[in-house]
Amino acid sequence: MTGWAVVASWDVRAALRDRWLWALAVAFGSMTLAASAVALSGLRVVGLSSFDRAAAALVHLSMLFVPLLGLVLGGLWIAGERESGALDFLLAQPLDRRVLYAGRYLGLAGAVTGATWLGYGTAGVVLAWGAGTDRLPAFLWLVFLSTLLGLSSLSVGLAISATAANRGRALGAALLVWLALTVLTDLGVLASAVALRLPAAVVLALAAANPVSAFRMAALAVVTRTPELLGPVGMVAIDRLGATGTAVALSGVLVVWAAGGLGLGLRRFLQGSGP
Amino acid sequence: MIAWRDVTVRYKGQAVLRSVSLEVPGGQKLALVGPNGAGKTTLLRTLVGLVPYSGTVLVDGVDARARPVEARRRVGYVPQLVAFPPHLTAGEVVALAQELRGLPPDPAPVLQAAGLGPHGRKRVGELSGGMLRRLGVAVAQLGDPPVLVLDEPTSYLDREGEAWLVHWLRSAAGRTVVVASHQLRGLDRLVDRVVLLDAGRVVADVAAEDLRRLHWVEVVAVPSELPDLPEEVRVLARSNGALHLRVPDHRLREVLEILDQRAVRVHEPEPEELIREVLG
Repeated sequence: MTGWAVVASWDVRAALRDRWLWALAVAFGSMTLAASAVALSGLRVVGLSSFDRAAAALVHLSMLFVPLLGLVLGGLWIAGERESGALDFLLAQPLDRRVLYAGRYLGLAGAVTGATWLGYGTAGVVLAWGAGTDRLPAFLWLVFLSTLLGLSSLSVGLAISATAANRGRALGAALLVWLALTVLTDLGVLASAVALRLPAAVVLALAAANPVSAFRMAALAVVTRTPELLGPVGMVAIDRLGATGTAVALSGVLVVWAAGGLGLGLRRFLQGSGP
Repeated sequence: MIAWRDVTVRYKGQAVLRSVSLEVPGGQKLALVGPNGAGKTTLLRTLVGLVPYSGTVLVDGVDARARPVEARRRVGYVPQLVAFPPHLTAGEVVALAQELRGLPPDPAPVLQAAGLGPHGRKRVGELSGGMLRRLGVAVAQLGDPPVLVLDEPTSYLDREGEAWLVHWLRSAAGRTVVVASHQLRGLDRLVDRVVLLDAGRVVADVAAEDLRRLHWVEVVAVPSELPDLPEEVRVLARSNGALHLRVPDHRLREVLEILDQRAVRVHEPEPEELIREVLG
């Protein structure tokens, strides 16, 4: 087995023992299960199918849970192990720093993706049972986009961890970034749009720069048949690019965040850990 | 062989190591001593690439900056604070290190040799400080690296652990060994050479044999009646109510134990005091 595969496989094993990760995965799974069940059994809302209601609920749950998982898990790694001294054990091994970082990223990505799929798995079973499988492609899009959101959050979390002086600061910064991405940025864009009377295309670009907003717009564009759920900015996007085009373009935003975070984190890691 | 050539390390603008040049021939055992903050740990960390430095570091002929992975493969490093990922058991730590060194994972014989056989399934967080240090030494030896580096190896070790370490150091024949310590106590019996580092510079370099002739102990508070000491112990001087005793190397531990049992306060010389005596 090559170095990165050794590191990744040990990290997946470690993740399986992580009670915090299990707690979050089970909480996410329970909430997706509950949201799907309620959406399927609830009264029919005008213009929304039961699948659309369930999908919209899943999108909003994922917006909160998946970035939290990626940011915190990534945020604690380097700073936590540096603080405890355990990082020196790995760094003293005959392993290239880039290989170690890549292996760790892949291992943690496996953990974040596993937890996300666990949540979607439970919802998927309920949806297939209650609403049939004709919307399976839309559901798979949602899983794909959530996975990308998890990977981009993890990259940012690792970059925070490589930069932070200690575990406490890394965790604080990860939670602050989570709050900014899930709540503050959208509020800021909304306030700017109103105050500055920004054109819709500019508002769209500003909103799309936030990976969580990009995920929300991409997911709602592709999984629901009700563009009104996207709001005026999302409707501009669909109007210009179509639903699939919007989802693909916004997936690109998530990929850029994942790659950018990974590159920045690796750079900081190499600077801070010697040759 | 290890060579540091004009190695300087800066941390937050302060020089921690200042143009250190030092060579340790293959098979030699060297004690790197000096007060806290002298730069001992930093010097050792350059070998495994844990600190950025200027200058050249060669490990068994391999440039540690140009070929860091190859250099690390040749070094077994036991840090001052031995720590491992906390979710792993002792056996898993060994298996992980074996896999990272390209060896088949087989922790049982390694743990057995380190006296940790019954503790293989314990998480590292459940191990005592002494057990962790033994585990660190065991992991450092994986793959038989030609260079072994131990930072403050006697920390957290009890008497049994120290005896095990002494045995281990004596059995490391043929390997280049560097041991860093702020105390010399007994270490000079295990090494060939002692280097004193102070304020990031090499200030003295002496043969361990020369130091072994010089052991002395100062009895600070002289009791009304000194306990019986071995005949070879000689009183060198009396000053300000203190006694200066010369103790032969092979009697040092015994004498310290006797004085300790009688609660006699003693002052053991710092490494630099002994080395300065050697240098006259």
